[in-house]
Amino acid sequence: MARQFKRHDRSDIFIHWFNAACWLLLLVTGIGLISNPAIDPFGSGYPAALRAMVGGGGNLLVIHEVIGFVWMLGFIWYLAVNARGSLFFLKEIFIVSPTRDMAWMMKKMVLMTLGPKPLKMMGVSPELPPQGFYNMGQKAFAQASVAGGVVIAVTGVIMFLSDKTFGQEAVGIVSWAVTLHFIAVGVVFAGLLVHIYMAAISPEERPGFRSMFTGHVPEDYARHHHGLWYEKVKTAPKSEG
Amino acid sequence: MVINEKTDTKPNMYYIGSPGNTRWTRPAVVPASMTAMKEAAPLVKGLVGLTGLGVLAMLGRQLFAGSTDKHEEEDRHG
Ligand code: HEM
Repeated sequence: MARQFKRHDRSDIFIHWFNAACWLLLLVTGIGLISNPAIDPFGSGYPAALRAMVGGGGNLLVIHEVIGFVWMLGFIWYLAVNARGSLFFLKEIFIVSPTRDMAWMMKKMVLMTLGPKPLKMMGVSPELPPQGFYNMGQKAFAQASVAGGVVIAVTGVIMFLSDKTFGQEAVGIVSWAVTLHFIAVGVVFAGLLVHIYMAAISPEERPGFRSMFTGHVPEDYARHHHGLWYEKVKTAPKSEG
Repeated sequence: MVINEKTDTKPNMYYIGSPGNTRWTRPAVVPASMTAMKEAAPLVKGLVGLTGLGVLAMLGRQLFAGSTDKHEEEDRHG
């Protein structure tokens, strides 16, 4: 087998799929909790049907809240067992090199949808600037999911407490929490469509997809897709995996 | 679920604990946050629609033009 480079720890792989599963369940149940013809993404039949299925909207809310807390506990566990990995992740996704990364992003969007011709016609080289551990597309989505995740968790807890410890004075905060919760989910979900396409469907990223199960990627993938990262790790002692 | 009898300011929240007195004496005022949520909804849907279109464009390219220049692509640090 070609030389392999370690990309994800066991705990990274677990938290990723745990998060994905929670997201799916929280989306399915959460959309059923909104019921307003001006907002419902799938029409008002969906919330009505889902509520009926679980014996009422109250039950649906309990289910959504329980999954939400399990989701948050998962991340508390992850932060506790892999603080170093979390820090590495946050550093990698929030440090952006404006010229290199923006050029990458613009070119990549054209290449993925229209191909190299339009770039060549404008006299721009279709060559992508090399990227680090994450490329700019991954960084943008990861930033949205971290920031969105924090907003979703905080506003979720505020809504959860709204009929427990909060009184009348908190009505304003609670109702803004509803709105922000909804917007944050929407923004992350928009990114998620691209994330799932790039990670699971696009053939070029197949080795990246496999790495979310095995933890490692082959050398030529690391060199071509994450050149700056490859330069850093290629001289390191043979990585395990 | 608490629904004001005089004005139903959708969306309504479910309360598992006690929401207090539900027989409000005046019509409910639609809070600014709910108006904002309603106004944000088409924007959020638009954003999801746009990224969805982007994905469809990428998928289309993958299906019709994809495999031929795959190797070139890899050489470009894709
Ligand atoms: C079916 C659903 C999903 C699939 C197939 C999937 C697949 C993947 C893969 C293969 C990677 C590794 C990429 C690499 O290391 O090069 C990854 C990374 C990541 N995933 Fe997912 N994922 C899914 C759902 C989610 C969800 C729901 C979220 C969060 C809301 C999420 C957040 C992330 C983040 C933040 C990263 C690291 C940055 C990045 O590579 O974009 N994923 N995912």
